[in-house]
Amino acid sequence: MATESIYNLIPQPVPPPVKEALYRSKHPGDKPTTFSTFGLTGTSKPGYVNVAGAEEATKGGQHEYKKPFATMGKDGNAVPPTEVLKKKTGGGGGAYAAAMGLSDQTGAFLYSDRLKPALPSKEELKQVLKASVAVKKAEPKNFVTSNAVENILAVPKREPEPINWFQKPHFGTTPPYLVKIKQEIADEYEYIRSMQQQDDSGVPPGMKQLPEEERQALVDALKSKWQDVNKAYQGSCVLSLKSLDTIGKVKRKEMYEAQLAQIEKDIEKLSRKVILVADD
Amino acid sequence: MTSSLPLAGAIGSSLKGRNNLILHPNDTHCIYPLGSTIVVKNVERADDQLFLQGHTDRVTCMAITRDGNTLASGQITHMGYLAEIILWDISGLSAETPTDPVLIVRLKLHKVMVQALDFSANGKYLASIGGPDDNNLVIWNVETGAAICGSPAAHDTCLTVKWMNTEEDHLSTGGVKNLRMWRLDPVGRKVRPVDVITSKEVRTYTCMVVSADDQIVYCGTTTGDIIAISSVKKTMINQGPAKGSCPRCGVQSIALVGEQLIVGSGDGELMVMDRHTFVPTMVQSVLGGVTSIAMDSAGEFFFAGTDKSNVYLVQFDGLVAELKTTAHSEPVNDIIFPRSYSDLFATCAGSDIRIWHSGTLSELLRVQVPNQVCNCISFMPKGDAIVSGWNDGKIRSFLPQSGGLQFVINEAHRLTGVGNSSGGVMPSNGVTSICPSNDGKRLISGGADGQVRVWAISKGTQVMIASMKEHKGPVYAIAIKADDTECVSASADGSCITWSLTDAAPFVRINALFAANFFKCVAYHPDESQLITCGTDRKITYWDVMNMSAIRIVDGSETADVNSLHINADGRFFVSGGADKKVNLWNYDEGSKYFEGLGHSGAVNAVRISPDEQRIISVGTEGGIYVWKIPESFTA
Repeated sequence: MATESIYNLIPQPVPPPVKEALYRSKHPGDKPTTFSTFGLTGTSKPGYVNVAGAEEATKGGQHEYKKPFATMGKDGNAVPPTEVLKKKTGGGGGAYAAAMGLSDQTGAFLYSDRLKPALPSKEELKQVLKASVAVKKAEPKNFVTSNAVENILAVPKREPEPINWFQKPHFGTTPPYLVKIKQEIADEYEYIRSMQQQDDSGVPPGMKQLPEEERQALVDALKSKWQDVNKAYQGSCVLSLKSLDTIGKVKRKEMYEAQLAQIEKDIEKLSRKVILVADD
Repeated sequence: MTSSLPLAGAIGSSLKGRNNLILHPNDTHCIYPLGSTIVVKNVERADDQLFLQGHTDRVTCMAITRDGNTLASGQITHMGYLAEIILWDISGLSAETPTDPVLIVRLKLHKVMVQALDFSANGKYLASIGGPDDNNLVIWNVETGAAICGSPAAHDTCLTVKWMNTEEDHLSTGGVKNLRMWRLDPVGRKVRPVDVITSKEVRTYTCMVVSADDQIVYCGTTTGDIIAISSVKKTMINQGPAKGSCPRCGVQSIALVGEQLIVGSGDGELMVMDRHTFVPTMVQSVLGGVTSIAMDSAGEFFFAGTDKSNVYLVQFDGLVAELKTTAHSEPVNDIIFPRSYSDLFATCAGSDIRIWHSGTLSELLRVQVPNQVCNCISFMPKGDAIVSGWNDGKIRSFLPQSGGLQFVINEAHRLTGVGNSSGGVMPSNGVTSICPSNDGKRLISGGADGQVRVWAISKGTQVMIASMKEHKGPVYAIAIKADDTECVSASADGSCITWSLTDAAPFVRINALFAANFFKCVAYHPDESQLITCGTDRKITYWDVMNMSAIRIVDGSETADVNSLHINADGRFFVSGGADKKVNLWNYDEGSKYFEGLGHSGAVNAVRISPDEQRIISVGTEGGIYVWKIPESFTA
């Protein structure tokens, strides 16, 4: 629940609603809807159009939709009934023949014109197999000879050369890795020793010197506190002796003075150059 | 040296008297009294208000001529003095270029109070009736402003007077056990009564209406029935309605439309009844006793004013009532603005807390706690709550938008007896002052028990963190410093005490000042080096906060207590209000009064300068809220 506020009580005036201009779509009105199936009957693109929702009306297919002659025939194509197509007078062959340039070929269409040669028969294949087996049987392999020949012709194997350890670098010296490790250990010891030496410089163990900026911040804070207390002291009614008529006022005056004195003492203490503070 | 403070607006209407709400015959101006001021208000535009100022005390009755050119208003005054009737020329209201009303003449003859007024049909004569101490009927010549004749109105108190519609020298009066018809002899300067014979019926007649043909006078009674008398035979001819359907709490107002009577009753019922049979045909309830019915000229609508200061516009056909204006009818105790927001302010009166729009002077929100009285209110600094102190000793906090109760602190202050040590009657009980801290985390309250208490206010809990008991009388005001380190409380025991609110010295008395005075209000000067107080000693006193010594004492009023003070944000000027019914605007450094606002008819209970320092709002015991404009020459 939003919290209530007196500043929200007065209802703010509602601006009069601005009447927007009449909506006119930026899309053309005659655009076919996506996946439209209108006007596609009999074209090469069956099913639907404008799958992508394009703005422009896309053509349905390769062929235009032409069906004005579907029932009445072609315009001006009224061939007299006497002029029928006679036998063997047409081009024949259809689309294939036209493509192959055979449309003007006279004569009947024969399938044998385009047949491939027949595959070898089972008998013929058997004959070929028999012939190859006969050749193999005529020349058997002499393994002894062929082995000998192979070995004679083979290149002998080379032995690897023995390593000469005297030639090795760092021969007779301390290995570098050992030197490196020893150096690292020595550095470590040196570092620890230097640290210990530093600690010994004037600051007792368990203490540390207060950094200068921290000391300054403390002094500043104490000074501002002194000012606050002093302002309250000066602003109160306990200053004049005449008005110190009740115990409460006397006590308050003493309290203020004690506070101011304590703060002054603290400032004096913090004003030294070196201030050591106990760890933790 | 002092000039008059211009009145910019007013909320309130004193409709306790009968027929005090008048609709001008031009149907656009409503005229009603507010304390000693008469308000002429445009019915259509709420901000179009005119104020007729001339009366010295509460206006008790008003009348207007049929042509709407002259208005008469009568007032009450102190015992032993003469009460005035003022005639106003208001012909400028309906002119093409409206001109302000002009006071024509003051008519002084009645003692203490003017009870009722009426103009004759042609507007030549004015009949007036004095109050119980006077009880005379006086006929005045409107043109010359001279009294023609007078006569004791009756043996017992007379309450109402009415002229006939066509006969210019006949009138009738009614009152406690008396009903008379009079005949005026202007040449012989006499007015002669005839007692109407009402057989066994003994009534107190409160209001009258005369039929258009002058044959019958209908008289409303406190018993609740209506008595019809024949003006020819001077006898009662009819009476009604029947006992069961009588208006309860008496007939307070009556009007006649054609064959129908409209009757307003003392318990807030409007009735329409046939004028022959007195059978009520329609009844509509409104809030408060209907004391005035003001018909429009076409007889289609009328205004009904109630003694709860509500004004309804009622459609005669069907008696559909719509609340047009509303105001406090009880003494307004306090007024407060939200921090640095002048668009609205809150007032408390009786059991109501109401929030008003400063611009339109319309009511935005009303919170009611039945049967209790709210003494003081304040807004939390963030504006998320209205905190209020009540006479049952509780502090209640309300949500500012819905008006829902946020929390109650029960027994925040102990209730005291009805009397105080000096034998007087305590004007307020329970929690008498309340002041939130500027960080909104604490609430400081003062009670009639003399204690000042500090409450830690959080969302769910309210814990008392200190109760400072030093005052011996009710704590009427608390003011806090801007940094919440110190507050000062003013008490009726004659002391103001500054309290420490810091953690260094928590909740102890820092200092005190004493004077022979019932302190009513205290305020810090904005630089917080000085205090300013007021009270029953009629003085406004400047004090040094450091040593609590009086720096300057100014006469706040010559005659009466100073109840309230408010100082502006830079401390250049302050405003005071008191029982002398005046709102005064002072220069702080000079200590001199520059402006004086007259308009309240009761004591001013609280005054406040709006945060934008354009206006002063004052509230008084008569229930009025007055908005005064601070003159630009003064603030510049």
